[in-house]
Amino acid sequence: MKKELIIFGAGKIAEVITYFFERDSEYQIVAYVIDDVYVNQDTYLGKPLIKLSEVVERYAPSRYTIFVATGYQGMNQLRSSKYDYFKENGYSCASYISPLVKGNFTIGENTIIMDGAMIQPCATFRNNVFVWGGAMVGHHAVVEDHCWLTGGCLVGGVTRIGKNTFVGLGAIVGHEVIVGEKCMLGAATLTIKSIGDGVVLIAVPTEPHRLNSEQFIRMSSCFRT
Amino acid sequence: MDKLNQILADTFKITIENTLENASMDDISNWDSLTHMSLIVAIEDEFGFEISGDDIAEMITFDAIRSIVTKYRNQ
Repeated sequence: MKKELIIFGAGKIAEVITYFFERDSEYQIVAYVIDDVYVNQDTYLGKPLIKLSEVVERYAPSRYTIFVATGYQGMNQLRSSKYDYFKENGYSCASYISPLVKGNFTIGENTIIMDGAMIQPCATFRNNVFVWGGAMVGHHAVVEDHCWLTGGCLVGGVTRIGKNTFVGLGAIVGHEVIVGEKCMLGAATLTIKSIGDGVVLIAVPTEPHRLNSEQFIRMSSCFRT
Repeated sequence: MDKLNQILADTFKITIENTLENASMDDISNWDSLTHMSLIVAIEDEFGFEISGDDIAEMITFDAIRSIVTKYRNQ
């Protein structure tokens, strides 16, 4: 018999998390919970949608498990505050590792490793960490609580990612680098030296070509029809 | 047009004599979108005008290049 799971969240992230937990986990989703002010319907994805203020009374921590499935708003502050809320109220939090991701690594609570992530041996993920498909985390790397590792990012071996840090699409963090807490490593950024807390890195976007696509097609033999 | 022929020769790594013939992208093996834009920039730097996107797209033979460069130089 599957364990009973409550998802915190009723947005796009919750929908993604629902897919994974329903596809191949030991959990059965029984309800969704969100902040009281946002409850404007009775159900979400066919399950009861309940107010946060009612969750402890209706779904006892001794019986139900939680997964916090919200976005990285406020440098993961929303996720961490909700995770802390449920822990303070006595809940256990579920974690999920895609069966497609093999390897010898450890994860904490409310952590998800999605399809297509590449995790090298001896990596460690603490609590409330999201690892999206295509992310690569090197051996003996440590990803602290509440981090968000987006698709295609590369984290070198023996590197440490501080709490609440966001690692964007295709961002590269080198080997044996220490990244502080609440850093924002934007898409396609390169971090090869350690950085302190609260650092924001933004890559320079590619400049548009002076030709538009129609002109480019006419000019380029490679794309000419 | 001596300067233009020199630019063509330098860009496509061909002899000056070969620039005197008409040739197209299909004839010059290293004439791709990257070298094409290098050619455009070299022409603009040499002659001091800016070529429009539509004209850049039409400059896919040596004759077309000569014709369009002449047009700009006469403006």
